[in-house]
Amino acid sequence: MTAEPTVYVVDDEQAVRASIKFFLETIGLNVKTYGSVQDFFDDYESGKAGCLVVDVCMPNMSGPDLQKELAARKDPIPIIFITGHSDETVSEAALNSGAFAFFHKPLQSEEFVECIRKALNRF
Amino acid sequence: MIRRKMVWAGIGAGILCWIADCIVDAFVFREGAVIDQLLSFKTAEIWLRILFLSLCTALGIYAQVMINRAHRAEDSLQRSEERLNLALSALDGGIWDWNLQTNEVYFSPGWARMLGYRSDELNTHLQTWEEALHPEDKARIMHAVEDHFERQTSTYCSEYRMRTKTGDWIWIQDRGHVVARDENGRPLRMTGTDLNITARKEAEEVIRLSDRSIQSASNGIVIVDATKKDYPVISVNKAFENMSGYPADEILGRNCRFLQRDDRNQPEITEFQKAIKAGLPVHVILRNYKKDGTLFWNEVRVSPVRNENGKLTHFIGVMNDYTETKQAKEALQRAHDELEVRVKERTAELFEANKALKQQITERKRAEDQARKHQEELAHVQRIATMGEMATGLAHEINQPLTAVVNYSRACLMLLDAGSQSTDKLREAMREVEENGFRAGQIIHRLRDFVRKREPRRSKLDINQVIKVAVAFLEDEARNHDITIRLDLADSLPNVVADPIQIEQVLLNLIKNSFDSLRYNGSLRREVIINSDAPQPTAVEVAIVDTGPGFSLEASKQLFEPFYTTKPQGLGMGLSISRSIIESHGGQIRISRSEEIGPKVCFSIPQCNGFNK
Repeated sequence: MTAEPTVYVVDDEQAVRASIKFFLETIGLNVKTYGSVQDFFDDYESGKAGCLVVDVCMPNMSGPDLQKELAARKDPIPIIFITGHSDETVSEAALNSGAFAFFHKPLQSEEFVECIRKALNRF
Repeated sequence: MIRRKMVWAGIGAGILCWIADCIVDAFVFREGAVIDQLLSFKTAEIWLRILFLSLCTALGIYAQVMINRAHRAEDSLQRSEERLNLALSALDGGIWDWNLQTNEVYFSPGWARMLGYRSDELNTHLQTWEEALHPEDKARIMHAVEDHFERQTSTYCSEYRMRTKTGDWIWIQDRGHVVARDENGRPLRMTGTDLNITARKEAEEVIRLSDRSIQSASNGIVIVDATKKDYPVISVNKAFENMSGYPADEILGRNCRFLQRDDRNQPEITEFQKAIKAGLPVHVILRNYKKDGTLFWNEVRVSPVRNENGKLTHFIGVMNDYTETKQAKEALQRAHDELEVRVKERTAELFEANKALKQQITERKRAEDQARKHQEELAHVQRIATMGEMATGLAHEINQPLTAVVNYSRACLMLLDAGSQSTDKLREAMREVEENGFRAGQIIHRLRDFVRKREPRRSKLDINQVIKVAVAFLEDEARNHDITIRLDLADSLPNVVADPIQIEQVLLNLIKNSFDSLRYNGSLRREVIINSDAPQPTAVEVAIVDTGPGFSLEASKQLFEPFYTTKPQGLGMGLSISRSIIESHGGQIRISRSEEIGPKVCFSIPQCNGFNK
């Protein structure tokens, strides 16, 4: 754990992205944001400390697509899904596929922070 | 008287002779003085002297008588010719005297004057007369003269034209006879008179013309004698003969009433009789009967004819067979009456039809009002249903700014709890809170507008703006289903007059249909293209094309039917309502297929050009 752990935020909604970054930075976390899965992979280097906060619904590649890709790369980075939809089946499937956590928007701030800390610690 | 003068002249001459004889005696016989001689009365001598004296007297008387007779004859002839010439000069004519042996002709001064010449201007030869004669009349005249020469006529008489000095033609009446013939009866001398009868001839021609005109007139003309009892007809023309069927000789001498036969009970007859009695003109139409018994309506106009003293002498009746006119008039009247009845009937029908139409219009208007209300309600229900279908997407959309708000708020609280002095950071977070809160509010506002029950309100609007609002509703859903919405909007489109919410509803219905088609059929390429244009100068057109499989022919027939749906959870109201909305805006909606992409739904809305309110 030489480097500062990073929270990677992937959400196509700019306002959401920016607010998460602002919020997490307030509590002293290192945050990087991406508007799409593609952007994320373009920048991401495996093996670094951190966790992922990923929106489920995104055009082209969705949150679950990203999860599959990481699984395929055998990247153990914990993934926290966030979604604006209250679809139980999606959250269950995500968790079953090895997601670290699943949050509905708007985010319960304390639980969310707690979860991120846990994820970072775990890594 | 002359004779008595002669006697005295004879006696005077005898006495003078006796005295002369005595004087001769006295000188010759010297037997006493004259006085002695005168006083010596010897018996024998006295008787001888008386005898001689008587003889002288008788001879003187005879000579006087013969002289007187010759003088008297010459005087009489002269005066006779003078009288004749005076009389003829008043008559505008003259006498002629023709010597057939020499063809010398004496023309009297009156004769010359008649032709406009002086007596000394005329050559006293037959040629003068022949040259003045009208060529057309010449043969006839010569024939008449020959007839007289051959004693076929006691007097020669003819009328012919002669040329005057000025070249005019005058009519002459020529009368004469042969006054001397030779032992063989050949004429030696012929005399006669010529009279200018031009004025009479012209008057005669006028009368003949009047008569011919009356005979040629197309109206029946009858003249009756008003001076005779019962006013007998004295003249009828051909037209009246034809009209009545009676020949003239069966009419002349009768009163016209025979034309009515027994049909005398006609009010116009009374009127007619009254006018005739008063000697006034009258115009009546009478029922008359032709000779063959057929009725004809006789339009009679009678006028009184007066002589130069103003005395009523005749009536002239002008008649016209009025039967055809009367029949035509009656037919016209009948047609007119029938027409009037029909017009009345038709007017009544029209009135009824109009009433019915008004009622129909009222009912129709009411039905239309109801239908519109019904449509509005349906549209409202469908909007709510649409919103229901879109609830997940909408919730997600609202969730996004809300998430941001919560995150920023939380960050602010943490900053404040940590006693941070960084007001810049706080301000930045608060501004984000405000902005995202506003954004969420806008979404809700739009949503509320869309589902609120309201009266349709049309206004001038830019169709591209409506498209953008509708697409904003669906952006989230599109994202969720990996659908790209592409806008291909024409610049500076004319405005349309429309209700923005209703048009938005149509757009949502159509775009959502495309989404559903793309989703349920698992299309690989998921694209919806919204195109706006004004291909015709009268309407703005919006087309929604997607890359989905489209509709079957079967389905496309029923697509616009209410409650027809191909979707598992569809209500089947979208297209039906969309169509009624577009049609209520005076536009059209239709389904076709875009050549290179896929199914296409297209609708048009008339431009804002004053037609639509």
